[in-house]
Amino acid sequence: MARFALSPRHRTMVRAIAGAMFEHEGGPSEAQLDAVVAAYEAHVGATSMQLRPVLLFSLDFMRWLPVLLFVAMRPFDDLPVEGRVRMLERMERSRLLPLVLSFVAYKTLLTMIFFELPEELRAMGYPGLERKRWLRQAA
Amino acid sequence: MAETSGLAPAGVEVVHGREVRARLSLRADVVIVGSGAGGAVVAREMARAGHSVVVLEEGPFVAPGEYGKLPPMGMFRRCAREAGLSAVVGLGGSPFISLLMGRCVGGSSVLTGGVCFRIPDEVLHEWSGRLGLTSMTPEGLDPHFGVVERVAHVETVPESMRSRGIDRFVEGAGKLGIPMKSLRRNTRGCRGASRCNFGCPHGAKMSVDVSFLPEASARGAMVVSDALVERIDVTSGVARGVRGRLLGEDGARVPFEVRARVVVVACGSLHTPLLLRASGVDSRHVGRHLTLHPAVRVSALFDEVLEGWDGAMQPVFSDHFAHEGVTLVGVYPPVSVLAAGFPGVGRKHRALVHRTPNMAVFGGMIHDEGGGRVHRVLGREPLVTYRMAREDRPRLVRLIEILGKMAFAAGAREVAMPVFGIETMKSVKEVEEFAARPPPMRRIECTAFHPLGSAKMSTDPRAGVVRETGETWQVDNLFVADGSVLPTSIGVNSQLPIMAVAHKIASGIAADWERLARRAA
Repeated sequence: MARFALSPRHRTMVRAIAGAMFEHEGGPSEAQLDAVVAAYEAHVGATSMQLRPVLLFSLDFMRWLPVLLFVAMRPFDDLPVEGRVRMLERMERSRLLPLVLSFVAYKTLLTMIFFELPEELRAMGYPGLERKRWLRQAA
Repeated sequence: MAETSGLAPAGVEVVHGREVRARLSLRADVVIVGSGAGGAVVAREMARAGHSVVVLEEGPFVAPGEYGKLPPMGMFRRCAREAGLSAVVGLGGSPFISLLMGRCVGGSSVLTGGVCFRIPDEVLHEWSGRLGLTSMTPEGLDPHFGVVERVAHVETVPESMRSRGIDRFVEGAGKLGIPMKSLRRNTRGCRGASRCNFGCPHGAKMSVDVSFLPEASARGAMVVSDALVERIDVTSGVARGVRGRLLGEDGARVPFEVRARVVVVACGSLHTPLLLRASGVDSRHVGRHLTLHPAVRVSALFDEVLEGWDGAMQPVFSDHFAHEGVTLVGVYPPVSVLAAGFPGVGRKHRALVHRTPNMAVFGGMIHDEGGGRVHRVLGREPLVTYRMAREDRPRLVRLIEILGKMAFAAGAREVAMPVFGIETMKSVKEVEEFAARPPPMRRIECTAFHPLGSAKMSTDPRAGVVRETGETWQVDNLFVADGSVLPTSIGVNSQLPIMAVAHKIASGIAADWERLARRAA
């Protein structure tokens, strides 16, 4: 069985979501987006043949959401980053369950991947597995 | 019941199914399907009784020494079913619930927070009274709990291992008159890494792969990883063994079979029903009555730096609201998991993430009435549906309200609530408004870790799937020894109860061995 690989379309879409989801001044970097796409690919490759098509279908669904919602006449990954951020915010607040679930699934998965990147963990002040409390207890 | 240790567990010797290239045929006294909290306990007991044992685990073997080298998502990919993305489909306006289950040697015990409770007395009184399961009493289970607590090294979390974030919640609870108690967990030498449910990086959590399985292995039990059991062989109403495929990394599917006098199914509440059904056990109760303990957590932002990750992941709990079906449990997940629960996108989300050192987290779960069902669909994963009972819906809202009020009583500035698409709350008044006019259940962000009851125990074949001994009503010498046999939800974390019930079932098999062996001859 060949190792699972994302199609170029899905790869572009994951990158577009991550670029908006983690948008900030000066970031995310191209290297970070590459890392997110690679980790997403590995993660989806570890799911069953039942779940995997659902995840990929959600990507296609999100890709055409701007058109389906009459927000823009082009796919999600063609929108500028500000447009993608607005689209994701709209999904988060939506009352329509498929929109919310697609958003939550991708936000959860990509956020857990992105904030495991060592530079992001450092930026949020997380010291890794180093701990002090147990040493005080031991003393 | 006397327990003399004898062998010093060193590690588990595993036959890696993914590396086997030729058809595998084995014989044993007992074959056990699943190596988690149920299967591992049965393996140790049967090996101690001098029987030959084969344990078959669908997932891979990940050596405990590797846990600390893998980030949380890496552990999910290696050790969790569906790489941690399993979910339960809510019906009738019920929440969509993410469900974490292990799929590795050690099963879900590798991915638990290590919390250990005995089954509450009032639950056992219901089982032994209303349900007629006369041996399922506090006294009847006490010796079994005693053994598994000793082997799993259950100890009380010292107050000194509470993180400052937990301290703040405990203070908030105190101001509201909610007493907190120290939890018991199966740990030895906890260093407070706060990532128990992604595999302990210090080998301090006594999951069954480092507690029960090593002794079983040392006494001759064979553990085979990457072994997917597809069917139980049944002849003349007696279980004779199992068959399935070894899952090679390269996609190879090598058939195997194990002939045995007794078959014990312990693949958890979602996969045990699938295997029973595939093997001809067609009771209408198979796959029904699933309970989940739906759980939520809130994250609270404080002015001061708390470094909530510095302490035991789950140190305290409160049963103050047990009469309302609510249990409060302190928790602190890895920061990347925490970040996923913050509202917003882009810069707004990032601003909250960068205040993680100032965050404290607290959670809880409800003692649910059931409403879950495991359906067989194409492929090897089930479709799980859950129709939350009418009385459980206000319980979930009440739980969130209590957590929110505790956070503000503790001095929180903002609280991220487990509701999709809402802003952080900034006052108790907002929490009260939430409780007065709750959002649709579908918008509540729920997780579950304790699926139970899908092959429940009963005193009558018309009411359940297995007898009090764990043996199925329909097939002789076929036992179930995992969370699926528990007849109702228990309202507390299920790891230790599963171990104790599995120990009881294994003790019964050992005591009744001659009759079972004659039947299998």
